[in-house]
Amino acid sequence: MKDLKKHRQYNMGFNSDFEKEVISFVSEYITPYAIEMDVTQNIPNAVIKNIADKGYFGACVKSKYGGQNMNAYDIMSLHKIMAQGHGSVENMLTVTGMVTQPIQRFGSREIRDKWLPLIATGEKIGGIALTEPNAGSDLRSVETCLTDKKDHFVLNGVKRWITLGQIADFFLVLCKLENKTIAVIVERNNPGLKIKSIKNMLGLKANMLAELEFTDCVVPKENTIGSEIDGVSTAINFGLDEGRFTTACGSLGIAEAALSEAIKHVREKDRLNKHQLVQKLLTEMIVDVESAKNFCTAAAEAREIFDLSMVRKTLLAKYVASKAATSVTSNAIQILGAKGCHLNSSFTERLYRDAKIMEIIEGSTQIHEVLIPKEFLYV
Amino acid sequence: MDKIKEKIRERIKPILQGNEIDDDENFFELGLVHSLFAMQIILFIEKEYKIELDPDEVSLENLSSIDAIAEIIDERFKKTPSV
Repeated sequence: MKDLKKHRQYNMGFNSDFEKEVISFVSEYITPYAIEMDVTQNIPNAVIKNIADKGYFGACVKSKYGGQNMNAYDIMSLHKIMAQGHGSVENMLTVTGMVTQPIQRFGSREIRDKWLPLIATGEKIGGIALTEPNAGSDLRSVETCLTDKKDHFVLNGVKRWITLGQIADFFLVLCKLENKTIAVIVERNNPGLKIKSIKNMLGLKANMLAELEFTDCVVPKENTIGSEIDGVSTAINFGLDEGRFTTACGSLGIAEAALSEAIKHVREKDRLNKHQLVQKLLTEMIVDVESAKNFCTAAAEAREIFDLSMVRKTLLAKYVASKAATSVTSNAIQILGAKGCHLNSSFTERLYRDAKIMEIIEGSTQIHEVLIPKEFLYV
Repeated sequence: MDKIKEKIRERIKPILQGNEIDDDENFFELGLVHSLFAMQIILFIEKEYKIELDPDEVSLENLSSIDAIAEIIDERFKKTPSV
């Protein structure tokens, strides 16, 4: 009953106390730095420290490890509002969740005891290294290779476009071990790891991307996380599932913000208010936002009650919300006209650039078009 | 044990699309399951039996057949009968 009440509350657009807390946090600690983040292409240490102090890095870390163990509705609010502050801040928390879930579920006791408290407090930042120059959305084709040297492993290969690569203290790296995919933890100070910054991306400009080059990188055997069961490391699948959910919620936040900007502009310009073609655009935007909100809320509800449909509802939410974000931000720019096109000074243009990236990360729209029918055919 | 297997069969049935399998047959080798199947089986076990699987319990061997899945659930019941 409690869950249902909360579900209704979110669907009716009310802000929970937690959501109000995040709105206040973002207004004070993220929004004032948003333009600077795009220009300098990084998240200032002060912003990271404030997020850490608030405990947001530990959103999905269990309480016994010092985390917040937030319910799915609060995680939805957190990511929705963070993305309105800055997409890269939201994505930093998405990546943290993607690192947390595999470690929490599949890490050995030693690994969990070591890393989860550090993640929860923000003392150590984690990155997840999946994408390679020749392997993007199809994770089965990763070429980064782990070789068994009896008392340790050796890792060789290249990972590219790794979010937080410029600052992360450790990485969860997807690689192949004897034709099976597996995840291993590699710390930043490993002498076999070379890190090169990647800059000047279209959106999520403060993601601090990097290329990671592993050359005869020695990895202790106890650093492995889970094993492959059905094609891709199951640990990584749990990480991706978390990432899809939070990216869906971040996309919803971007779409809502763009709609809000467009409505504000139309209200200011009475002439536009009456124009039927503008009304058509607004209608499409409102339907997209409401649709994204419903899909995200349905996924949150399934996740909260641990329903088996959570996997497919999360896929649907990510697919619908990220497409909605692209479409709504594009329409918002169309309505704002030149006013919405000023680089690094128009809020809407940043939302537009960030939205496009949301459709690519954590499984592109096209990968979802492969996964979603499979979910419904098999289940 | 039989009740556990019955529940697992019930859960696996729609995924097998009408194909009959024996309890000891490996459904990964049959090629009828997709890449998120293991996630769903893990969620099914944890939700249905209110247990949290240890990382070393989540392996291909333990999740590959109805017999194997029933075995890890039964082992848990033996260890903690109150579960």
